[in-house]
Amino acid sequence: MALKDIAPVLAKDFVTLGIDTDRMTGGNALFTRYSPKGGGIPWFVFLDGDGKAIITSDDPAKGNVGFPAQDSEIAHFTVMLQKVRRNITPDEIEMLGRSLVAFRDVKLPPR
Amino acid sequence: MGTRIATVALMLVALGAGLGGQSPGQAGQAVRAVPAAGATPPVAGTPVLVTSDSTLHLQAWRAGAQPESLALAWEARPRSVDAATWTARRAEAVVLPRDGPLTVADVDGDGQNDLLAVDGFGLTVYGRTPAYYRFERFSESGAPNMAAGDLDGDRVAEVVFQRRVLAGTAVSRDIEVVTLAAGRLQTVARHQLPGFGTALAVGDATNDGRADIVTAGNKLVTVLSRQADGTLTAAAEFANAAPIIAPLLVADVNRDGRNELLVGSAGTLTIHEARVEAGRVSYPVVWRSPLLVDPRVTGAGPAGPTALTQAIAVGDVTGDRQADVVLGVLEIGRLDSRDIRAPRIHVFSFDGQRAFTSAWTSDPLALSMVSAIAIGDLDGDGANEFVVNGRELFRRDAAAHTFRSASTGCASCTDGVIGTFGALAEPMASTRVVPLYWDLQGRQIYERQTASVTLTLLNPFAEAKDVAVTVTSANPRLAVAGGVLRVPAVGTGGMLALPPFSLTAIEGSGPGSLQVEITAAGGYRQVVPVPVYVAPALPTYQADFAGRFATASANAQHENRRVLVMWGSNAEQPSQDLILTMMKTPDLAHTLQYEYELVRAEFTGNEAAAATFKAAPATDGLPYLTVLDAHGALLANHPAAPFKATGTGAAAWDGRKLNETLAKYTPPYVDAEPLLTAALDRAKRENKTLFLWFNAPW
Repeated sequence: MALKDIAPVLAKDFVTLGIDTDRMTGGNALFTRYSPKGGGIPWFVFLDGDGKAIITSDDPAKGNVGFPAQDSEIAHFTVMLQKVRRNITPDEIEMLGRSLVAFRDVKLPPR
Repeated sequence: MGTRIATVALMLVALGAGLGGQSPGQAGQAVRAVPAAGATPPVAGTPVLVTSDSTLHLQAWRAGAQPESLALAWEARPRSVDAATWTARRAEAVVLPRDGPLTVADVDGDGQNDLLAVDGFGLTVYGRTPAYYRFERFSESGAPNMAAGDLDGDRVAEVVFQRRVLAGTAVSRDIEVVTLAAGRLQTVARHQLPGFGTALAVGDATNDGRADIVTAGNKLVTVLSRQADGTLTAAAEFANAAPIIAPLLVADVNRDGRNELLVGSAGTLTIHEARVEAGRVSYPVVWRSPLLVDPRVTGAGPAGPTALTQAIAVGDVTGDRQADVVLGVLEIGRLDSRDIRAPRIHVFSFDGQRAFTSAWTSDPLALSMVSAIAIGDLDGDGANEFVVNGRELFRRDAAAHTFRSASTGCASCTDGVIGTFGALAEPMASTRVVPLYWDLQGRQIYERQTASVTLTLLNPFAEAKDVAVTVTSANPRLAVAGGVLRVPAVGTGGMLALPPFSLTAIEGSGPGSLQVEITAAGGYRQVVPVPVYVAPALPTYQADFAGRFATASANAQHENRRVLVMWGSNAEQPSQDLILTMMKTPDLAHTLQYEYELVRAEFTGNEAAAATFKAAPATDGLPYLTVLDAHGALLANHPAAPFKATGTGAAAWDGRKLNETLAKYTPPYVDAEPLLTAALDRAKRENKTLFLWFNAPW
């Protein structure tokens, strides 16, 4: 998210905030508030200005996608972006999806 | 480069036809007969406890003559493979085969239970129709997961195996279904699923009268049903809340005539009810346990304690004729300033409605883990007992509302099942040979490291005389010195540590491998290749301090951590040892991971930088520690001398004491709630969406 090609795109529609559930006071309580069934992290949610959840990283079929790496996880992430986008374009969403694929493929040797 | 001395324990286990006797695999030589044992059944129709010590040693126990005592009813010979398998595969036998969990099921359809034991080589069925099933490949990682049940409704149980499959970095699990037909075990179905399999169960999870396969890959639970054509298809799939699932159980816990699915995970249990709507099965949670950790237990650091649900069993142990759930949960953390790592047993009773209430929780057990819980009425008094790991038997004390434990008689056991058997005949009677097995611990060495390696010879069967072990390197990654080791004799059942030899890992590519040749009087000779993992070299102290310190400070500001500068020298052993101490001391490694950005600085050449922090390695010696806040303000300087210990390598420094010191500088944690409020305000003001994510240092 901090990469120079990615951060400006996300900044068009998002204010970003990371919560460390282990190293922030009340971090775990905050996590439980937004993800009451608990579960694994990384976990993320898009909130409107009133703090209402619009969509979460819980794929209805597969559960929490965590850091999106597998194709199905990246697909859910792009669904999330499509749902909340205002200024980010469809092309930019596709670029963000491709960047996750590239990140995955760089990190992992080819299968 | 300094030389590091480490002790790597190599265990060579020779189970076998006797090191002093015949080599078991040599063509044309007679195979030493193994005395017949265990062919007679235990008391037919009487519940027995079958225990395993995980090294292929099975025993069955029945109620003894004295009250609350157990007596040995049956004992199997150490299991092995058939002669043909051994001849073909002796080179694969490089690890000590360990028993997987025992299973009880009727696999031959005679209406009587059979006992199923599995190891890395194959499945052994003890029963009226004994059988052995050799796996296609020996599994060095140990026995596959195993469960059994009637998948196709023919009243004969199939056996299901789950194995991990690695292809590059991709991890998947292979599900194999095996059935006994015409006295022969054979594969009848295979299915592959993505992800590392963490748990396996067989039971009628869909309540259609036929057993299903329930498998978990980390957080995802999949229910596989066998179709009429024999194939396996996913009847349902759902994600569990916790990231790692183990174990699973299918049982009717509320006595409504329908099975529920019990899912154990990180210190919790969830019970899922199968619901069928529009032909689809779903598994909503109908009950969830609290976190099963003593509330007094804290985490080793600021994080909470760790808990692992390790075993589940269902049965009436409280005598109320309702199902109880018995759980084994390992707790890891700190209690009263002590590190604890011990399991407890939890008994939950069904309230007759929809919930379970805690009926009893044990004190911490003197076990490293709970690998098995078995429930049954061993003494025939109409009340069930339960047995943990085949080792501790718990009886209910109704008057005291508690459970009392006693040893089963098998102090080394790790597994136990309770069942009633008609016969426990063994396969492979007179043709059995027992191969040479190896167990190798600490098979890792760092590049440029020299280790002092100790090899242990274990010889449970017959005295071996004039034993010579020759260790040589099979490739350029490893260099061996002093690898010819001789001992005059290893007695029956003896274990002998050989004189250490020296192993050095060379920089380069490719795997490391040793070749170990063992000879003994009587013509015994065996040569076994031993893979050794050569890990990248340990971190070193770096010369370019300024750049690394700037990066560490930036990261520390972003993550609210401290900066720890380790002043050291790549040329001095104490500095090298301190790196090992920091890596190998779990609490210290955790503190460093959570609270610090670490800079390892070569002191020579960075004397001026050290002086700016008033660090005095020049007078106090190396290594030396400087603690700074994220903005570069000095918090403390610590000479390392007070942390000196008496050992070598990682034990050269007192990691616990060092951790206590470094943990004192943990920065105050940021309050999450105001951050959220501010971020929401900003999002609203800028007409944006808040992208809120949750993470942790690990």
